Amino acid sequence: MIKINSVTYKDILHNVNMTLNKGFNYIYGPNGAGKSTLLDCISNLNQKYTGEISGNDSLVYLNQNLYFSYKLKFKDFVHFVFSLEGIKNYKTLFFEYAEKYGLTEEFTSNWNKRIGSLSGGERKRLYFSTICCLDRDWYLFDEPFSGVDTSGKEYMCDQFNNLISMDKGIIITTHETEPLNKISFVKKHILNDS
Amino acid sequence: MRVVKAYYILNLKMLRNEIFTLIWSLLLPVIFLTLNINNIHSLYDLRFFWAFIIISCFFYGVGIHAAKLRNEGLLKTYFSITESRYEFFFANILTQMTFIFFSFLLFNITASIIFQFNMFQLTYYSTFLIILSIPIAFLSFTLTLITKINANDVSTIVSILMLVSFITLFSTDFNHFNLIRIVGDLLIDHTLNGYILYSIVSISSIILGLFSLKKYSVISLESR
Repeated sequence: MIKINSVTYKDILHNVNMTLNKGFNYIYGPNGAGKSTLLDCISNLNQKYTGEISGNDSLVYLNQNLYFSYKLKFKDFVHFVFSLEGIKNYKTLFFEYAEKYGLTEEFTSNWNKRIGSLSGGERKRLYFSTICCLDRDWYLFDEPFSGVDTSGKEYMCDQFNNLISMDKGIIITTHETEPLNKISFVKKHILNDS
Repeated sequence: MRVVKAYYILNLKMLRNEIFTLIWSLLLPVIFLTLNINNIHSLYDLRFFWAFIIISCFFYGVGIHAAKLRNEGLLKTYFSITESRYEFFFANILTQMTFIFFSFLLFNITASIIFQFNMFQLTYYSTFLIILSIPIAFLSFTLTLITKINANDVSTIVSILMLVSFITLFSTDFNHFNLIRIVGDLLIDHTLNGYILYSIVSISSIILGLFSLKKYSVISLESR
């Protein structure tokens, strides 16, 4: 369980209180409500808030805007992320995962391509897939469906359901609610401007 | 250690992808040396060139690099996977030390050919200066505390200061504050006062650097 107590940050978050249990948590609210900022705080990227957040020791976070040098290759990103975890046989593990979701052909084709030459959706699928290979208690996704086609969204929802079945916690923000119909049980949390 | 290694390998891959910039960065000190042939009379005169390379690499490659990456949002992606500011910092120092070593190799080979200096002595003294100068890498990280000025502007200011420092190297009015001279003279100042001053400045630089690292936020100052 992640507990958020009286979290305030600048004029973006005001006294936010929330309890997030394992399963699928959907944080929604209007633009500018502070959803991304809240995820930054939960993930400890932003430590300048006042208040308290607990239960957030083991997590990984897929940001809304992802940055990785466009001159590096698809395989370099996978290698880097898996190296952070101390995983040596990164290619085997990554393609085992790809096979489960029918992505072997796409990933094989993109393996030696530069990240800059991939489409936005392909890049998002690369980042999403790599992060989902990591073992964490919580997975945070900020606007994961943005720029992704229908089959990509279906894949992501399959992975969400898989993570839930493994007793993982998911926190997601999105303005696209239609894909969420594929999730077995969605817990909604509203974050508004006040 | 594995996280440091991961960042280090990533940094080397990024350097490899900027091959022309890399080659130019390695050649520039050599070109500078050949333009100053008449000013070199002994091996020790090369210390200012070594100091210039070291200071430039640490300031641009560690401190300014961290400030720019923050503003580009790159670190948010890295640190979203695992919070690793210390490993990121030490990997950058290692990357710069690797680059400096190869830069010195090319520079020293050129110097040994032109001036007939002993290559072993050149390698020994230049490598020793790299090790003595590690606290400068820590000091460079204090640049990330500057939040009111854009990272690119900080980079420009540092460029100007480096150029002025090199030009005024032999001016007696400014050389007490000249970082290139201060670092270069580490090789020849064997007085007790010199050792004490070096120890105080090094420890202070490391403390300031670690403080800056603790305060370092990966959230961009320019965009939300």
